[in-house]
Amino acid sequence: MENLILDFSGDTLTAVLMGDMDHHGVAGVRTQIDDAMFRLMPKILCIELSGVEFMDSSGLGLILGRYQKASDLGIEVMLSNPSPRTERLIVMTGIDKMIKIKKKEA
Amino acid sequence: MKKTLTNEIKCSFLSLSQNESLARGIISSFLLPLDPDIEELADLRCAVSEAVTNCIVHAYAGTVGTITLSARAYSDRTVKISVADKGCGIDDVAKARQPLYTTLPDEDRCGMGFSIMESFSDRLTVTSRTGKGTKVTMTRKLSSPTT
Repeated sequence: MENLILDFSGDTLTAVLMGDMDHHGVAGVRTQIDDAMFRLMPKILCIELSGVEFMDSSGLGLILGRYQKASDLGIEVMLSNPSPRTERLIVMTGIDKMIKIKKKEA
Repeated sequence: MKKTLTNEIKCSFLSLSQNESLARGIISSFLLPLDPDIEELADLRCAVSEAVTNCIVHAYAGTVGTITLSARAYSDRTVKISVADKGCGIDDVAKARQPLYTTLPDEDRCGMGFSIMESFSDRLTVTSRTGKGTKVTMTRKLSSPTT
């Protein structure tokens, strides 16, 4: 199953994550996002999380790893629309203190 | 009243990453008849996923071995879930359990696996012998069904 869609518009690269973001699911996603960042050099990397059905520390590692790479390149990172469950993990591990979370207005 | 064992499962599978979702599916199927609330189910699915990932990424790094998942349910609504491997073992368990500690920072491992397992269970015990393997056991008491 395809679990990543990349979209580049304006100066924002959006990485839409879908399905299971476990160790199995993040394996191919990581290099695809990194390659797109290096190639396109966006101002902002937006990681869209609304389609994530499951996440564990492997998914968090994916987010932190991209954040570190992006910071090295001077790219700003934001997280978009995590489910309450995903957000709980993000807050539990303190990632929300490093990366901005953007939510759809209800 | 003395608590009694009400169900027990034990299954083994290879340390392949596609079996992470298999393990979550097995534990969901085991827990669902016990009528857990949604958070309890999600917590334990995540904790099992962490334990199985540790076996694949660390215990059997670069090799394939057998992972054994077992679960017990008791009459007082306690569940006890174990994930065991016969991999490399952990030299310093206390260190491995520290938040953010990882031996593989270059592979995007954030070092939060044990912390998440601790948060999502009432009690986490880790026994390990270098070169022999590791067993993690998570205990959690499910809340009473609300209906």
